[in-house]
Amino acid sequence: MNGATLRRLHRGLLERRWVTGALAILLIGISLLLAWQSERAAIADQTRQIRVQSQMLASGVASSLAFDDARTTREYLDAFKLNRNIQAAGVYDEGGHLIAGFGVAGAPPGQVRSEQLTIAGRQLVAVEPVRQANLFLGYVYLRSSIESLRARASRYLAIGIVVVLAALLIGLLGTANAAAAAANRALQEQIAAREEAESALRQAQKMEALGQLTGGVAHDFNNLLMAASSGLDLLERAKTDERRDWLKAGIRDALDRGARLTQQLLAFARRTPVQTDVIDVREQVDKLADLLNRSLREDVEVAFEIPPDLWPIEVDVAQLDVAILNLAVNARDAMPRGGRICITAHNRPGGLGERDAVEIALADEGAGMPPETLDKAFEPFFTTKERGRGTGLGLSQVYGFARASGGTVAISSTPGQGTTVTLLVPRSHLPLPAGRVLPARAEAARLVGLRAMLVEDDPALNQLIGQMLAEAGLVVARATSAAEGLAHFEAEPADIVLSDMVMPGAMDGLELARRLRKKRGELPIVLMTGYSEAAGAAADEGFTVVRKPFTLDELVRSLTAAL
Amino acid sequence: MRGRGILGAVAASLAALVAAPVAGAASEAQVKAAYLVKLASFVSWPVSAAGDTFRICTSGRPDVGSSLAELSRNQEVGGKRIEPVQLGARGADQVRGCQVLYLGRGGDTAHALLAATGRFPVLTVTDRDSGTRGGAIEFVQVDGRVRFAINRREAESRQLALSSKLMDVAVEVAP
Repeated sequence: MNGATLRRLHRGLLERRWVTGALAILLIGISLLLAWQSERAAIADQTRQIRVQSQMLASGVASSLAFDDARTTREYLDAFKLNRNIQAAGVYDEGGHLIAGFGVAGAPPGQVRSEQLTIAGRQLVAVEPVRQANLFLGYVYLRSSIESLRARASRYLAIGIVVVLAALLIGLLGTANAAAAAANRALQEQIAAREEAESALRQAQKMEALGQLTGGVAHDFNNLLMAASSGLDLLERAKTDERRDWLKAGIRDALDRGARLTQQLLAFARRTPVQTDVIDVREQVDKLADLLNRSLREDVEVAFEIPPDLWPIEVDVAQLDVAILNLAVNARDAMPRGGRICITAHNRPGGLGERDAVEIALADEGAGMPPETLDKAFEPFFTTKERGRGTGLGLSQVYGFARASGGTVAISSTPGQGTTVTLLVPRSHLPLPAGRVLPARAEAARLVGLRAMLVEDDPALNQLIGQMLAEAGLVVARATSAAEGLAHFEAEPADIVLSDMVMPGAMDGLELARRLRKKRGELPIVLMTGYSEAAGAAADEGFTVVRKPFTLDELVRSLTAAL
Repeated sequence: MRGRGILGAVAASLAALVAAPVAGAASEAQVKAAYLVKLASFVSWPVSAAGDTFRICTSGRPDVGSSLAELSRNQEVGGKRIEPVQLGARGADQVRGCQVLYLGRGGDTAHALLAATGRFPVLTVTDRDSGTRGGAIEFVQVDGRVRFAINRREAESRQLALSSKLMDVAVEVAP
């Protein structure tokens, strides 16, 4: 049995009230037994003492008895008067007649007949023969009192009190221990019940969030599907090119919004592969200024306070744009009667723990938020906007962006005074790139005439993307699975490969890319995916990734980047 | 002292009782005879002195001798029968076989007998009042009672060991 088991056993035993009660009773029982034994031992000891004393007296008086020396006999007897336990003593001749004696409590008997050693009540009586050599000379008689019950009790009282106190203590501790154990069990049960309740609450919250998500997303998608659908209907009936262009722009806009919505959802789930670039915040915000001024209302003024010497940061630029847009839209909505939005940025040495950071803050002069709203502001799908106007994902996206960038976001608000959202993004020590490579005409021209192999299992997409490639000037060979693509490539090598990542079959797009790279290390390969995790894995292995859905421009940009 | 008397009324609860021996009827000769027997129990003889019987020799006091003869009929010393012997003037040749020699009367006989014991382990008992002296034990008369004195040198010279208890009741102990 190991120590832990023993401890558990102890604890288990001591938690039971009857065990400690029994222990206390056992303690008292053992004490009584010991006291009884001690009593017996004490009486035996006193018996032995009276025997020894009577033998001493018998030996002492032998000569005085033999030679009738009463004075010496009395001297011997008198010595026993000093012993307070002796009640009576006597010396007898050969015939058993009393010769000399004394009695403190009751006289010695006038005649004795034989040797004896008896306990009579609380008295010990010893009659010892007096002999010298073999000569019988007479008897001596001694009677002593056994210590009175009261005297003995008082002797045991102190120990008794200690024992009783110890027993009480054991009982008390046992009761306390049992009570503590019971309280602990009750507490454990309460904790379990609370955890269950919390779990149920979380589940309920999740269900509520799911409901909101479904509602919000469905609403938005419904709107944009409506726009696209009606746009297509109208397109068929459009008479003029101008009208058709206008309708196409409308459809494109609706689809773009759908894509943005999906992006925001993914950003919230933090599943977007973060395509980071080292940027200057001032430059990036300058690019946004136009968009901001256009997308906000006329009565909303946007002011910028950004110094030119900001540290570079490494972020997903698109996400940064979305975050700033989300914040600006929130600020605008908080100021129904117009006002001023102030976007500021500063270097914050040691802003993120030990690390340097760049602070980007967006302040409005709007309604502000009460503390209870502030607490929930970053929760997904939480919105104070009226139904249909917000998804509740704006600040969630900001939060997701901040976390994905290794930074933090804080929000402060005073009702009636306005709200300030502060993003802290860690400083990057990488140099700023000379300039972003944009798909210039010259770059796009490099694609013309190249043999491209497209691997895509979805027939509709296969068709569509094939046309996009043909549009870009490439000669397209199409395959519908990785295995087919591999076989096709062996039969007829291509200059560039565009493959879907997630496909049915033993081999997926990533595996196909790996094998192709093994065959031809320099082969440009672009992988398409809608799943961010897969995209991240592919990017890690050095493949160019284009995120679905993509536009022709984006496709061309990815293909040229892979070359 | 006869009967019972209450002595020493020092404390009410304390009663020291002393009873006199029932020796009223016992004569001086009977007491001496009894003491001769009792003395033997307080003395150790060297092993060489052992015989089949325990011989107590008396001389000069026929009354003591007859009392002893009467007394020793049903008494033993050290598990041996007591053999009382009365010695006359010509008993000197027997004297070395005695364990105890009592000389009740002085005079030439006593001196002759005493001299005859030489340094033999014989417990010599003499009667001071009768004019015999020089025994290991000497009977003396004190307040009408028979007591005795001890002559240790005499006893030791005869290789006799006297019990220290005897010293307690002796009226004199000569070194």
